[in-house]
Amino acid sequence: MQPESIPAGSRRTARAILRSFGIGALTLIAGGAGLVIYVAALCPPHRVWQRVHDGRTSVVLDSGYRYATGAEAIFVCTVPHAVGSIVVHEDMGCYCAPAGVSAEALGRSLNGACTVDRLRALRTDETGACRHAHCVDPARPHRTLESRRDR
Amino acid sequence: MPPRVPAATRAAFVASLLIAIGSCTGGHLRLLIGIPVTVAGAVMACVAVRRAREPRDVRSADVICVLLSAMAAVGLISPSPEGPAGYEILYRSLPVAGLVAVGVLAAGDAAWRGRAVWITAGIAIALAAFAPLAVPDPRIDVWDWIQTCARALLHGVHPYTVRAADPMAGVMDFGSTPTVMPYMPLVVAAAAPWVAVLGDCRFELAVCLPITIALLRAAGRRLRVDAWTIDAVTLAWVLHPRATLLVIKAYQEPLLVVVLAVFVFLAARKEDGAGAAIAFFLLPALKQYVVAPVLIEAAFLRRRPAAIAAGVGVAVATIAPFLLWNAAATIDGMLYLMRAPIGFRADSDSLAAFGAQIFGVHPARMLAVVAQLVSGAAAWAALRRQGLGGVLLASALSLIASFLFATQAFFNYYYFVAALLLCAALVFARESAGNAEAAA
Repeated sequence: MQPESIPAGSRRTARAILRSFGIGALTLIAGGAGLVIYVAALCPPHRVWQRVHDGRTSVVLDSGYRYATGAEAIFVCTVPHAVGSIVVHEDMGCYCAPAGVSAEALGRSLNGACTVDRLRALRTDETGACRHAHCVDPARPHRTLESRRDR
Repeated sequence: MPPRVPAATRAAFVASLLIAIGSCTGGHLRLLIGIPVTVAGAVMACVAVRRAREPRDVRSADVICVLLSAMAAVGLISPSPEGPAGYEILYRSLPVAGLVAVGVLAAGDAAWRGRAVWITAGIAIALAAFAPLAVPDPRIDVWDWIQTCARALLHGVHPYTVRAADPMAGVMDFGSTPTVMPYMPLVVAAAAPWVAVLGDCRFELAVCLPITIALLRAAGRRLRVDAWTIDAVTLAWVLHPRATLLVIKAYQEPLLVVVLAVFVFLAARKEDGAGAAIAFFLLPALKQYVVAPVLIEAAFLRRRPAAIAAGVGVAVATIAPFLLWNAAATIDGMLYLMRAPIGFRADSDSLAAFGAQIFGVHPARMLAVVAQLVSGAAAWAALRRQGLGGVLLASALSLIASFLFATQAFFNYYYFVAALLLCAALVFARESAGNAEAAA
């Protein structure tokens, strides 16, 4: 079909739709750039790894809303933070898992290395790397708590 | 090119879109993008105040189309509803259809624009309608509480005397686990028939979307707003990136928005009528955070005490039966969120959370209340001569300030603010018929 045979209104609409998708793509690129900045400069689990690695602290986690239950142990794990297939850096975190799971098995499942911090964590714990029973879920370590119990 | 719209409409519209985009940009992008964009929305709402006070001026609506496209793209990466694959596909198809619809809105003729808007709205309505079936157990305490308390009410048990199971089984702790339903009685009373008939209160929230669309479009026609702006408002509402998640998680804001749409529809005919007043005064009967807006509406109606009395009377009537039944339990529930030792939520979409993460400062809960009242008073002082649009814009500003300084504020809170701003945009576009159509 020759361009002249397309009505001007249709061409204008097609251009506007393409522009709309272009703006959408730019929005996603901006979000992607934000994520790159986050991972490179702000990633909290990596900053913990850095502080522990430099010997500035031994506390890995002492905040958050997730607590280990009575049936869970807490493990300190060093895991690779990958974006796609590219490993960006090492993260360190306190992971909760059933008490029967071994540190080696958890480490294998996370592609990292784990050690037991607490076999039975209490909210009164003032020592160790993972204080006051704070931990994160191994399946979703980076998942935030948004839209959970938000009133 | 998109048509031209009144400057106040454009500013309020842009504020609404920025608030929706910012509050729906969560996860790792919350601090970097989400909160700054939300704050930009607040700034644009202040610009809208200025534009509303100036002589009427018209400007290009191009920026509205740009932001609508950006908002649709945010929908592409919004959290999964965690339903079956078919539902997920439909969920992701909405923003794609939205991107096409925004293009048609920007340049298409009225007929194609109408088709594009209705197809997009149809997908959004289908998503809301199937939400309770696609995600039968949303694993959130809001849903558990409303379901449990509505069932109790249906069995003749006072809803504030029962306790819902904790879906998190104690794994999550935000400082306080509710011991009583922390919502208003009208929420449970409105949910009960849906629980009785369909077994899930979320069907009630699902029907809010088509009712809101119908009411806003009818209000627009009553106000003689041009067809392009009515279509743009419709598209903005159905493309909200997390509207479906609100239904899935049983957040009650869709109810507030439908009541707001009733208010705008009635006020479009008679701004100070009793019907509109009743609708507006029902807002705090649904959610406790709507405080300053009611004072603003009362100030607007100061020469119509009968309308104020009607509004207050109906709102009180939604609470009185529960108070007479068991006053202590009802008051305990209604005030729970104000009295419970709920911890500071560092994952909030607020400046307070931003400050907490950057500077480690945790503001007091009272700051949000003070911010709402002070900003509401200031906004109303500036907008008191702007009629219905002034009421809506001042109400939005008071709530924005409150949420930005709140110890917890999430996208569902800002959903209502975005609706207020969108309604203000619609009202500021009144009697501009012919303007946009001619340009389109």
